[in-house]
Amino acid sequence: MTAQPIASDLRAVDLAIGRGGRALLRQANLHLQPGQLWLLCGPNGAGKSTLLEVLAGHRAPTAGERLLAGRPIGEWPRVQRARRLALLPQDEAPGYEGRVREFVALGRLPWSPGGWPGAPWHDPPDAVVEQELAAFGLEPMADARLGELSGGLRQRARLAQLFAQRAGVLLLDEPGTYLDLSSQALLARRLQAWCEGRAGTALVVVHPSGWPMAPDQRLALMMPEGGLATGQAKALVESGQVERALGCRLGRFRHEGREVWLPA
Amino acid sequence: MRGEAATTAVFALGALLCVVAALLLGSVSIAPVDVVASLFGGGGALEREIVRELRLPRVLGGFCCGALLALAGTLLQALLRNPLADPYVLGVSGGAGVGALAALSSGAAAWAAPAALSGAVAALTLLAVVSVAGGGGLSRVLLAGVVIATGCGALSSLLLALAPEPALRGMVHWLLGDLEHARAGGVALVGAFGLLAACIALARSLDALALGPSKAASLGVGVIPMQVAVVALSATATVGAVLLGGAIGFVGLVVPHLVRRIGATRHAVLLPCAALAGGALVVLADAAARSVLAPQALPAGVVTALIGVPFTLWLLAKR
Repeated sequence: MTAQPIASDLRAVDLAIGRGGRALLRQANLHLQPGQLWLLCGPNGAGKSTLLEVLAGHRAPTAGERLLAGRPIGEWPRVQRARRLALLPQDEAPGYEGRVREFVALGRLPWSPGGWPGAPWHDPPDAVVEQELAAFGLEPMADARLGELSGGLRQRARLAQLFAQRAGVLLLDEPGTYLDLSSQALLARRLQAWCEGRAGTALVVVHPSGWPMAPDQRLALMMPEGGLATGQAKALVESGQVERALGCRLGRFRHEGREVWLPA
Repeated sequence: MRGEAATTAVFALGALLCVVAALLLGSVSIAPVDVVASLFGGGGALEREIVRELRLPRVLGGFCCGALLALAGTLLQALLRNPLADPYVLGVSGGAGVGALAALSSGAAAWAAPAALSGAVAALTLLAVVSVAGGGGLSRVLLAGVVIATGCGALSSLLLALAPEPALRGMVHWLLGDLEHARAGGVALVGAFGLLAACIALARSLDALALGPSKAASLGVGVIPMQVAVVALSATATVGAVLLGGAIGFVGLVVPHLVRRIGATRHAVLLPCAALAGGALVVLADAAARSVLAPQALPAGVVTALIGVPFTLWLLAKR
């Protein structure tokens, strides 16, 4: 059991993706490097979730390559890949019947002995699971059934499960859904610490209203013509690309001496 | 963890008690001491004959049948992420039924088992072809299964309507689920245990499947190989159960649900507990079927439903 994520980078080279015969993205290049936190923004239906699935290796692109730690993603053995790359999809399983602790412990699946995800009886008390339960304030309800939790608490359990996987590259699809303000702030701090302190990297699908951006925030934008614009938030705002991609302007605000960009 | 081991032990003990109780019951009354003695080769010749040649095979056959049905139900519910799934949903039981009824109505009772097997395989093949062609969406698989099962039901009714009078009784009994001819030798017992072991080996991946295909894949589970394995295992279990006990309904649907209610939700615990509970339920139902209106024997499938339905409704209403 390791408590530190395996630092890896994920690189998309000339990626093109489509869904249902429609092209969503072409010639997209993106390099998630250890220590970097990236936001992915775009209008509804632009293909953000599809891009995440493609980057995670669950869906084939129509063209281009995905390299995880320099190796094509399809060549990784499943368990080895799961130790380096984790995806938080949008909630698709409200039907899980077990308890919160068991749910979070499923995040440890890739770390089962021998890397064999079948080992049934091996579920020793796991420090990582307890740590993540505590980090997301889930200790009081660790023995409750997941289905009895509110939507926001369930989302926190999904995040705890994701972090428990200890994968260096995290792909999160609208992780702030259902979260209250303090949990959203907690998640933002956690992701920043994850990238800066632990040499992890993350790509987070957000809508700008839910995530105040520093001027140097790394940002990937799904453009209307099917490209992916990448760069620092300030530069993308000033070049007008944010407005073209999202159909709204970001304004500059100052709070306690820090500058942030929010929809004006 | 310790709680889960204890839960499994309680289920095992309960199942053992049910088996013993079923061995004690029958139209000929034999003292418990003599039953135990006969099991180990003592006692009178007649008692030994009744216990070892009649009751024991029937009880073990019923146990295996129920355990296999519960396993199949648990697997399918995990696969389709739907508590309504059960062996009948796949239409596998229905296909087996059509095969067996066709054999019985044409007077070839000896061919009932192979005919049931072919019917099950045919129904499964049809389901697989339709699902793969349709893109394999889970709700679509479920719907296709329901449609195939309905079609099999209609075919069964047709066979019953056209059947010659002498064959009719046997056919109806088979349809209602009957352990009259269940003769589990070592083969069924070993097969059921082997299947359970194979399922338990997949337990953690089954847990992950409940999170949805995308999350499961992200955790390193091979989703498509898992789905294929689960279909194959549940189909094998269903065919085994149908060969042993005919069309016994209700067990595969409800037993996994009840065991989950009790608190065993991880498949490493859920699978063995459901198998034990399913086996015990069918054994008890069959014991009741043999003794309540003795010497007339009721079909076990009727009794499982008569016991199970009110109990389950009560549980569902209880919150």
